[in-house]
Amino acid sequence: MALNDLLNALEARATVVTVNDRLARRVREAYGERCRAAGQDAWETPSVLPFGGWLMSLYAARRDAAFSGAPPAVGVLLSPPQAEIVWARLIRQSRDGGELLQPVAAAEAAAEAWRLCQAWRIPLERLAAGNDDSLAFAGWARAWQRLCAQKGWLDSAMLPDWLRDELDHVTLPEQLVLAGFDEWTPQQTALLDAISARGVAVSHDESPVEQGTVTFYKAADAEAELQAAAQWAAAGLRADSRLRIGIVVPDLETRREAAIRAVTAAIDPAALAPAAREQARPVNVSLGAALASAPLVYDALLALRCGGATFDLADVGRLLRSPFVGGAEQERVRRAQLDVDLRDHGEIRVTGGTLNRYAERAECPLWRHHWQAFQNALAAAPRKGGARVWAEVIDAALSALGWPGDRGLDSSEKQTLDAFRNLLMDFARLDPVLDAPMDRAAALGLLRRMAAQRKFQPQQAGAPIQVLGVLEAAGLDFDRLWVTGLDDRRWPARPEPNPFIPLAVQREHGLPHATAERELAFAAAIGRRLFGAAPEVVASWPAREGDVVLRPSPLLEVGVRDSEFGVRDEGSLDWRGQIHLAARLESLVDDRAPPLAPGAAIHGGTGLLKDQASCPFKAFARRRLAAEAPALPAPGLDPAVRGQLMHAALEALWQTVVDQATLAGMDSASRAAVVGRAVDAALEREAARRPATLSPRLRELERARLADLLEQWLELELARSPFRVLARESDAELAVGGITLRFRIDRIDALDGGGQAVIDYKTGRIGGGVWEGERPDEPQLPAYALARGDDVSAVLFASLRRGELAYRGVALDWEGIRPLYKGAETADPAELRREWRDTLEALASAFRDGHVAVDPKNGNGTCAHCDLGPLCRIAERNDG
Amino acid sequence: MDRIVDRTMDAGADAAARCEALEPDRSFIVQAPAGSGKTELLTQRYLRLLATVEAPEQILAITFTRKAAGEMRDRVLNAIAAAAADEPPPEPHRALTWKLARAVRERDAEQCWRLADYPARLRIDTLDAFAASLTRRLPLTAGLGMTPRIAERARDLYVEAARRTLAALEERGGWSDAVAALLGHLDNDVQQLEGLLVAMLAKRDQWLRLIARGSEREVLEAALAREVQAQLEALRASVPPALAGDLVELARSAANNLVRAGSDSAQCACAELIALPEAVPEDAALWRGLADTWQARSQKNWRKRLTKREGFPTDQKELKQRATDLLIRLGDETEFHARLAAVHTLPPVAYSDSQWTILQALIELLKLAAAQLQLVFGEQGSVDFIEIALRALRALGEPDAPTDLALALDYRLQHILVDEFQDTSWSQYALLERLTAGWSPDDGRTLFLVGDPMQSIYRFREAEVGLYLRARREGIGDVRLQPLSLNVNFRSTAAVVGWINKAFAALFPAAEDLAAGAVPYAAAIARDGGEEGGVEIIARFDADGEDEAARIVALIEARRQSAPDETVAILTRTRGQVAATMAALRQAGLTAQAVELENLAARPVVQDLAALTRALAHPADRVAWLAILRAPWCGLTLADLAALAENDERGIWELLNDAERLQTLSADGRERAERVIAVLAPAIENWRRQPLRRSVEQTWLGLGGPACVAGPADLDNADAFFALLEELDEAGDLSDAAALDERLAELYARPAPDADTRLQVMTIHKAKGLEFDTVVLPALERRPRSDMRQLLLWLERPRSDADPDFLLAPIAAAEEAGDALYDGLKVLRDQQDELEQLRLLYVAATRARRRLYLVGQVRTKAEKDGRTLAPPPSSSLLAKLWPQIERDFESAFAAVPQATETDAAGEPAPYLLRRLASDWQLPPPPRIDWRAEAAPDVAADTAIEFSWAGETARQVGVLVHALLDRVAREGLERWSAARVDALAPLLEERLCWQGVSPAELEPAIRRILSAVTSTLADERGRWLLTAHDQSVSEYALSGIVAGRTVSGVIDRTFVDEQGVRWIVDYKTGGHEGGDRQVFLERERERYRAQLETYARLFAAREQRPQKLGLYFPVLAGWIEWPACGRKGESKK
Ligand code: SF4
Repeated sequence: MALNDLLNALEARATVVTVNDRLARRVREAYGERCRAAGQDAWETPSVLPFGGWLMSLYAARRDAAFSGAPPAVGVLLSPPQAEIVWARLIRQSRDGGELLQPVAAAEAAAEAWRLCQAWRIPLERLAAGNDDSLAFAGWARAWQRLCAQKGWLDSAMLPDWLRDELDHVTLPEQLVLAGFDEWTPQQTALLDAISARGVAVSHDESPVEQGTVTFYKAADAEAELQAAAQWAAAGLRADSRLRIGIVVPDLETRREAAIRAVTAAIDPAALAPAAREQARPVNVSLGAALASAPLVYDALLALRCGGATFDLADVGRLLRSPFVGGAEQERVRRAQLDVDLRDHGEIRVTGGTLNRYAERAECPLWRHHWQAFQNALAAAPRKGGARVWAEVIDAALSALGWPGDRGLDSSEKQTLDAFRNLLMDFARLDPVLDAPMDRAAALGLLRRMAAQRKFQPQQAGAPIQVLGVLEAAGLDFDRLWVTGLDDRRWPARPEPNPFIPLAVQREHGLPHATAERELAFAAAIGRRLFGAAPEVVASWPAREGDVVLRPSPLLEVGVRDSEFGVRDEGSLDWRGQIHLAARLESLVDDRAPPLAPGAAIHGGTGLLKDQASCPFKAFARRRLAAEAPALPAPGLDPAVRGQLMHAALEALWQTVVDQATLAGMDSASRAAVVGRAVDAALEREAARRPATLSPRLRELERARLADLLEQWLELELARSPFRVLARESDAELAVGGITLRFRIDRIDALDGGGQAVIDYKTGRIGGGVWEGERPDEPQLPAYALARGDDVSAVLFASLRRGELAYRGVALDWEGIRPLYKGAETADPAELRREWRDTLEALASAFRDGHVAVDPKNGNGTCAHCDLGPLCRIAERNDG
Repeated sequence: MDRIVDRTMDAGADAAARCEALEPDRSFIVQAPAGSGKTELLTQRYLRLLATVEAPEQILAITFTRKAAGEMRDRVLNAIAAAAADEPPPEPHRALTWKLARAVRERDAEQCWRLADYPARLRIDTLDAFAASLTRRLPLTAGLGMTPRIAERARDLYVEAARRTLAALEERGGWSDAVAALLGHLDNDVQQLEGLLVAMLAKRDQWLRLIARGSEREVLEAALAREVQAQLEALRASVPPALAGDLVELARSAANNLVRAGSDSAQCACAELIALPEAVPEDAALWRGLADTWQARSQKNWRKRLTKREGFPTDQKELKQRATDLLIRLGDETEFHARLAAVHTLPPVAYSDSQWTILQALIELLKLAAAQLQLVFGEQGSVDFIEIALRALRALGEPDAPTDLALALDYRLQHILVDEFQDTSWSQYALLERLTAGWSPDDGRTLFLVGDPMQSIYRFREAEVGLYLRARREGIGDVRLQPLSLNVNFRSTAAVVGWINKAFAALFPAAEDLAAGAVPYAAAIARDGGEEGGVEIIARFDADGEDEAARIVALIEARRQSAPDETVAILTRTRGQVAATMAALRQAGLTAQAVELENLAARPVVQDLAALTRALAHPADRVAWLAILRAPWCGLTLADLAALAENDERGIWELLNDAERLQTLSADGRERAERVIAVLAPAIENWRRQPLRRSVEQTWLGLGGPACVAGPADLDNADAFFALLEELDEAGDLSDAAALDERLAELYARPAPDADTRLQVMTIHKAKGLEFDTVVLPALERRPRSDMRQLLLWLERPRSDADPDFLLAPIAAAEEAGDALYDGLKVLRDQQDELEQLRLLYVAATRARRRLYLVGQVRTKAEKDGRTLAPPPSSSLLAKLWPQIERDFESAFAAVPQATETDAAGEPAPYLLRRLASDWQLPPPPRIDWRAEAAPDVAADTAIEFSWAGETARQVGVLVHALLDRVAREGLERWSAARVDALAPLLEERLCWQGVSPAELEPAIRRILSAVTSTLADERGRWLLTAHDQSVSEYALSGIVAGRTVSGVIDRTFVDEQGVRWIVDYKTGGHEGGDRQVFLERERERYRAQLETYARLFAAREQRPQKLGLYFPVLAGWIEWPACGRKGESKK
């Protein structure tokens, strides 16, 4: 293209208006380079503007003209978010818009259709020829038009026409050059005509495009395509570090990060390292990401969601790990631990009180301080307010939270902070278009939406490789250019006409993307421009996407279309491959841990034996390394809590009832009363611990459930031979295999017929064979029995599961008791005790001696319920 | 109709049907069994139609997958391209395609379609994609507003909706009671109820339409009664007439015996029976009595022996003899047996009051959940595929008032072709119905449905084979469909086809049944007459899987020997079933290509990466932290791990940074730990400054991760993991480790790049549409997994003269066995599943070209005369096949020497710790030299201090600058204080739109006005604004300073009488109290560098003395100094 002509025009003080920002920057840079080449170290900044920016400058000039005595301009230009709010309101209030799934998104679509109508001069009456969709839109558009007229508003779609009427009041350049445009809308043409009618020399940069040499490349898939392009760019750079190299990626919005990664890895992999900075990358990407997804902003928006009486545990967890909350540097690991504690606690929503209590225990004073201040700031806000009011609240709350943290901001974080503040300012500017004050949810919703729509790209030094989208590439020139994604579905793509304007009207006015013919011409034009943008061009397509086979675009010339060339040159940098090849591995037997220090404290009682039986490695990791993964709380009461509730209720119950005779002596009313009190006592305690979960009605339901279950259970107690409850929740210990286990026995009954029963309440399912063999699944009852000595004559599970209520175990007196396993009735008690002791001895001493075999009892079945896989590396062994 | 259709095809018996199928003005439904060449037929019809339409968009072809759409498009385009040749190819079927494509080329030229340049014009899509495009075209009619994102995984959305639904428990209003009722019913298990609701939301297209219809108790109970009646009618019809009399009479005698004996057996109901019970629900008890007389409930056969317990005491010899004779005569009556046995599982014909209450509550709850889901969709701006289909349906209008699609699509849809029609779901079917609403028989629009009901295997994705049968019988909407069937099998040899014909004719149900999805078998004709190959049974006895792998490996090795180029596939129903076989193949040196078989999460490389991710994201995830110290890149021994972490609750990262603690490790362990710490430290310090993937991937590289993987396939697997991380990235963080696990569990390891592509292992579902020379079907004795409980069970029963019946049963209460209604409907659904299993077997078997191996195992049991075979577990595929292959098993069993018990379980393999060698070093990262231009110095400009007052001050500054610029341009003489004051309303409007709050407005305006007026009154101010030599305001200058490009806008510059260049900026700040001079000097220092930069720019352009100045309009303050770092002087 004729960059030179443009520069000449600039030298003659012309204003150059470009199709996009990127081209404007390029022209400005080129102008600077030319000046420097001519030996100048300073020059008057040339007037180069993208089209939109140029219109804005005319608008501003027109407004300022009022200071100089021009009549005040009627027309306030609404910002896009301002316009969107108004559109959304009109749509929501309309007959057709009330029940849309996304009225706000509809506003965006409507604004776009409106822009098309303005740009292509489609009178609203023409919409009557369409379907219900266009009729509805016509209604909105008319309402919008009326409102704008009434209020003196205009939007960017109307701006060119408005300016055309106001040209008298602005100073125009003598010469105007337009660069990089493929097509003009009638609206734009009218404006330019009016400008040239005022004596401005308007010219178009229409120098013929020369095709470069185009080579074609077929890549296995999109990933491989980017890698090939990156390596090709690297090779170019190695040959000449001053080359201007471009890579065009059509769906850049989603491929942005992939492109950065591929190119950087091919040139300077170290620049991707965690500590590396944005500036140090050899690649520049034309498209920013949504501001809302920048970590700094993301966490701010996340925090703002957490106001009120209870908080979502997952949100709190993220904030606890956020580097952007005040005090995170000092309390990093402790806050993470606090998250783990809260998850163990097990509520999916937590109250402020719970959070504060745990935070205190976890020693996170800074967190408590900031969180409290943050909540106070939010609480101090009025229930409803305007945008400016909310902007100040948000700002104050975030400062109270210590946001953006004390890690120190790097350059791109600083820019993000600035961008967020600008956003907040823009938000504050919404007031003139709001019709009513907003509550907090509405205000935050608006802010979030604005943050999601705003694109943000931290400034970065000029890098040798440019990655661009198709439209951003318009008009640019390169030394080498690679165009990716040229498969036959995307190029040309299927037409996507605007749904609000009747197709016939679109066809008649020649709207872009409206018809197949139009789309084909469009793709061809873009192609011509791209292939002319550098003397050397590579065009590539991915041969498949997932399991779908793609074909090259038919717009690539036949003949060469199938040609391929290799890009992987010898010296290409594949750091990962190099590391892989440098592998030097050793294998050693490592299944012994140091024996337990004598007298070392052991946690967890009989659970240790259970783990050891299930998998020795598990016992080691859990008990000695305290290896626990953070829990995953679920809604409602989890099984463990329900078990505790049942335990507590039974404990309370037997505290009052004492023995079977008492129970038998009660009539049903007093029995119900005792049960009710026991259940209430249990729930009372739990509700204090879990205020967010045990909400009133759930608590009622749980009360009914427990009472019902207990009443049924008491029938079973009555069916047994007479007994007296000797101890509840009684502490005991057992020395076995050189270690001493401490535990708590749920209940011990003295049997009137002699001996004692040790009882374990069980709310979970009881499988068969839980005591059998060398690796019993449930060794706790045998341990209890051994701990209680020879007087034990019954060892019982109390199965408290709905539908499975029963006493099961071994006993001498079987009245009301079911055998736990086949043959239990005939088992010899002394023999049984011996077996149990041997089994427990073996398990305990293996643990003590540090035998750490990775040996799950039932293979995959055991591992399925264990989260230590990454630590024990069982998968590696299975892999062979 | 023009006669371009060539009737001489090589399709033998199918020639006529294939030819008819190309008639462009008729609608068809084609049954195209395995190997019948349906893709070609579809392509040919598509081409044929293309030659008749005005625009290619008028034809819509719908495929089941995107892959299939791509393939069909490919075929069509290739055919059109190939037709450029002037001579037709010699094979008749290809010649036909050529001819059809030729006509398309002519049409293309005539109509200027330019298809070759624009293949995207062909509408060949999945139904999902088409539905999405409809909603894009009709966003308002569809009730959307704008087409939302379509979430491939919508589970999170369902969970959110379910959670909100259950939260209604605590809200006042009707919902609370419904939630409470369900919770009470389900043991107050919130988590379970949530899960069940989520499962329901995932198939709401099915139940929404039934609960929308309203649910009156009488209507629903009448439906149940009709169902029971229908079953009893079928039962009554199946009673062998000759035996009816004896059945009744002997049962009555037995019943009377039992009554006399005081039994409470169900048989007693028959004490008064004099004739067969009627086929009415009231007689169900009589039928049950009959059943119990002749059948034992647990057995699959008629009773073998009759005893006193059944009412046949030994003393009544004659009765007992007659009864025993009857049993012998009943022997073969399998259908009667099955129907009679089914009376035990008949659902009741009325709801109990508690069931009814729960059903009502459930329906309320489901409605609420659906409504909540809509809200969630709206908020998140993304929806699931079901929603798109439902919305597309809505966009198409009501059946009697269809939307005019021609307006929206620009073309009138003229023809619709649907592939794999047997796997259509209800919502898809409804969409087709709606698309064709308003079509009249002779308007030239056609439907063309192709599929094979025998191959319907996507029930788990809501496919409903009954819909195929229904369409064939009744058409779709008003469109009648001409049934055609293809019978020639082009794929398999006669030997294979023969076996399949014989086996499946016996296996498949004899009669078609829409409701049950029963499809009779259609026999195939082998095109390949060769008797090569065939079907072989691999019979195994009493073994638990170990020898299966060995047998399979042996047979594959044998095949490889005799025919090395053959393709072999092992097809499995579920992925778990072939793990042992895969391992055995590996050991035998056969690297099979496992297609989506091994879970990605099972790969050690992925587990290590997941642990690394979790550890970086969560400093207190202790398992993850220990794991990354144990992983090969670090490889701490158990002893070192214990030394580091035992008895210390502090986080592992804290422990690693505790130098004393580190001392307790072995020397080698310490070195290893330190190497890892050095890599982790920067990653932790900079956490969330990079995207998640980059943070993890780069750390992994730094640790030497790629050196630790098992092989190149694992580098690909690592890539798959990283791709997932990109999806899960939330602002640089992994917010939910559980989501990572969940997603990993859905991904599969990539096949090894060096795998043998001729040996593949995959699921039967994956194999659909493929073919192999040899197919092995392992583990036929395994039972399929049974369905999960669901909140609401429903069945649809079409009725000829009325709306279909819906049978509804709410979930049974927690842990309570035996809800006859739920169980009764469940049995009916299970029957549908069993039929699907048969179809799955058919699909698997028909993949084989030459050889099919069926591998199954049965138990043997000891009998008096040696061991005999026990029948395989019912509901396994082997049980289905058993009548066909029992004989093979028996002869195989006769041939095996009596198996000796082998003791398989040995010691576990010793634990080997794999790790990098102690002295391993990371290769340094390579680098190509590239020149970075200096970064723009943004950091300096960032206002860390932010205040709302400051923001207003900035706006004030902007306007003061603008006004002073105006004054300078127009000339001082034209400005007066009065003129300035008159600007107040303009300023007010400007400030207002700039977000200045009402309270600040007044002061701000005053400040601007006073700044300008005081400048006008100030001598210095006037001097600045006066026209001088070269005076310019807002002067934009660029240039190079200290090697970097700078630009700036200078508020005011000119050359004075002495030839001095003045460079002046305005500063609108004010100062409260304090020494004015001190303030001015501070400001000078603050802006000195900036003005000096401007000075250097000027210096590059001209040779002049320079002076710099700051002017403060608000204060009328001034400070100046000479440029180039010379000491400044100030004067007032
Ligand atoms: S995952 Fe399996 S092998 Fe590893 S510790 Fe757990 S149970 Fe043992």
